[in-house]
Amino acid sequence: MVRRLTAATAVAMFAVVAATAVVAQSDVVKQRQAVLKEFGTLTRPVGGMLRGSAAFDLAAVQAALDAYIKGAKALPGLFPEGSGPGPDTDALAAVWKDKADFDARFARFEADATAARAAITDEASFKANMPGVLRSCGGCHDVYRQKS
Amino acid sequence: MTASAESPARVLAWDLPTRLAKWLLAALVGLAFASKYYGDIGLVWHQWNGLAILVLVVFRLFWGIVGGSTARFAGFLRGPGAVAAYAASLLRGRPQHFLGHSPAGGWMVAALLALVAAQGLTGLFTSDDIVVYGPMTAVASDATIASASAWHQRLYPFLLALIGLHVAVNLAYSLFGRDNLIAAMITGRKPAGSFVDRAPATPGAIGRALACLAAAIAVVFGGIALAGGDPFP
Repeated sequence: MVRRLTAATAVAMFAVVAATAVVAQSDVVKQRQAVLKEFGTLTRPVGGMLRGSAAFDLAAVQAALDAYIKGAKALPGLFPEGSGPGPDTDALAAVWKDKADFDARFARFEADATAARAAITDEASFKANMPGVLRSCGGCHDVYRQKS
Repeated sequence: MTASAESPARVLAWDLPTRLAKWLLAALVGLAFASKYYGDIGLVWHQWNGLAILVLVVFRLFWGIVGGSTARFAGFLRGPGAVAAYAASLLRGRPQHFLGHSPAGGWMVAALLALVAAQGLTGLFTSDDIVVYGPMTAVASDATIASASAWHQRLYPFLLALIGLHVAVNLAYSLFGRDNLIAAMITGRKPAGSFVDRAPATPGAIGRALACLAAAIAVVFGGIALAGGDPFP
């Protein structure tokens, strides 16, 4: 009887641990998607300014750059081994196959965004410096994101 | 027919609007590649380029109904029997001689137009989720944008392959075949001879071409505006 109870407890504990791991994994997917979604939301008005369809707004540009700098620090840690590829994520297997390159791209992105944050003071410096930062986004999507 | 070997008589094969549309489309498709890879990051140039391509394709559809005789779809889109007969004559080494498109060439034209149109249409709904938002993305669902963006990229290698085949076949035929197709598409004329189709071609009126162009501009820009999109990137 006692032995059976011990076994049942062990099974239950294992189930809890396993379930926690699964939840943690889907949490990490949700977390990185939230960071990247925020990038998208903050970048959209910046795109309008670059295309000339929206007025230049330094505060909005700085908000986007600040989000890039903060997000680029966090993102490499939000792609742990086993958190993709899968049905809930567009991350391709290449992320984990070339993790060093993947992480290095975020480091470069962070450095570019930091430099641009300091360099951009007006519309002219915005148009000169912002495209270089944003090219990293598409460059990474091309290699590491599923095209749906 | 009294064509001498030195200066053979030349007959009209392609009217001016057909030739202009053809070479403009070729140039714009080439520019679309350039504007994608070397253009501005917001792809504003690429989007104008795509809109111009759509206008030309719609123009060509109208011109294929009311244009010059060799430009008309009813004339050059032939059934499987005609395609098989042409293929058989090609395999025998004596291809049937056409003033306009051969049955194989006609379907190549249709395939190229269809693929270019598909690229233009999917492009309207394409976004990179970063700074590029096509004219119709404002009113399209996320799912539509994701699928159109994927198709816009997926069709690209097929378009490249089809263009490669089209160019290679025309070069080969112009070098080794019965007449210089590339020169004919530039000058509009071919040396007189015996053709399977009616020669010379009847040109379409310039005024009618201008009307087709105006209608095409109205269809593309009016269509985007009516559908709720922003036709001016």
